[in-house]
Amino acid sequence: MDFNLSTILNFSAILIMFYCLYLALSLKSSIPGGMVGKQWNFLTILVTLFTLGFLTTPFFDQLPEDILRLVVSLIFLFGAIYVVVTVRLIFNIIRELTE
Amino acid sequence: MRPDLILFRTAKGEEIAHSHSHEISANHRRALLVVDGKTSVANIARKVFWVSDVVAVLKELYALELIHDDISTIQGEVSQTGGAGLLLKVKLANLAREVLGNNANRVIKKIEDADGTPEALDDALLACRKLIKLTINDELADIFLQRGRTLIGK
Repeated sequence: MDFNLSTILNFSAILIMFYCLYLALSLKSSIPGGMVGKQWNFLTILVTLFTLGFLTTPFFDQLPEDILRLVVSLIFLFGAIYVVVTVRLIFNIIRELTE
Repeated sequence: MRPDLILFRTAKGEEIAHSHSHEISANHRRALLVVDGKTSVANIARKVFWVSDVVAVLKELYALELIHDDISTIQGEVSQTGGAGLLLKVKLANLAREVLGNNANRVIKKIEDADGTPEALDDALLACRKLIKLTINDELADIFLQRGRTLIGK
């Protein structure tokens, strides 16, 4: 494993994702249910998936190209889902607070 | 008069307590002033040594409708400084505990921070409904609002 710029970026991403997972799990007890609670469970699952996915990035150079493309596509797909869920959550919170 | 009864001043009681009229005796006025909507009759009887025969005096004030224990009789009549607001807050906090269980803390904090007037409490109830709906449970939010409004007479 070469320690170049992409490796540093990968490790940074993993650390940030672990911090995100810590935040998601810490907040979970404060949001037992309701509109935010339901979405939060889903977001926590996605963050867990991302954390696991990001952990594989240092080994990407050992993966066959087909698998690598698939993993990257999955990360993009779940990333897009994550963004949609987050934007919808913010939208619903604002609508609820302003109605 | 039950020892655990919590009394508060009615609008008429508030007026007399803060005026210098001679409608009641000095002893009765002293008793009227210790009624705060928080302290039970038993505690008043134990602590308030400066009022002679305090329980009997409280009974007389009750008969004169200067003090009361039924929250439904004071809707919108009494200022928060008279203790009615505090009593309403206590009742709403108990309702929150009953409906929300362990998740009631943030809702109780919102109620405690609100003014004690029925209007302010109604606003606080609406804010609590939003908080419950967003973070606890949709159905419980509406139940809490409905029962809370019944308590404050809205």
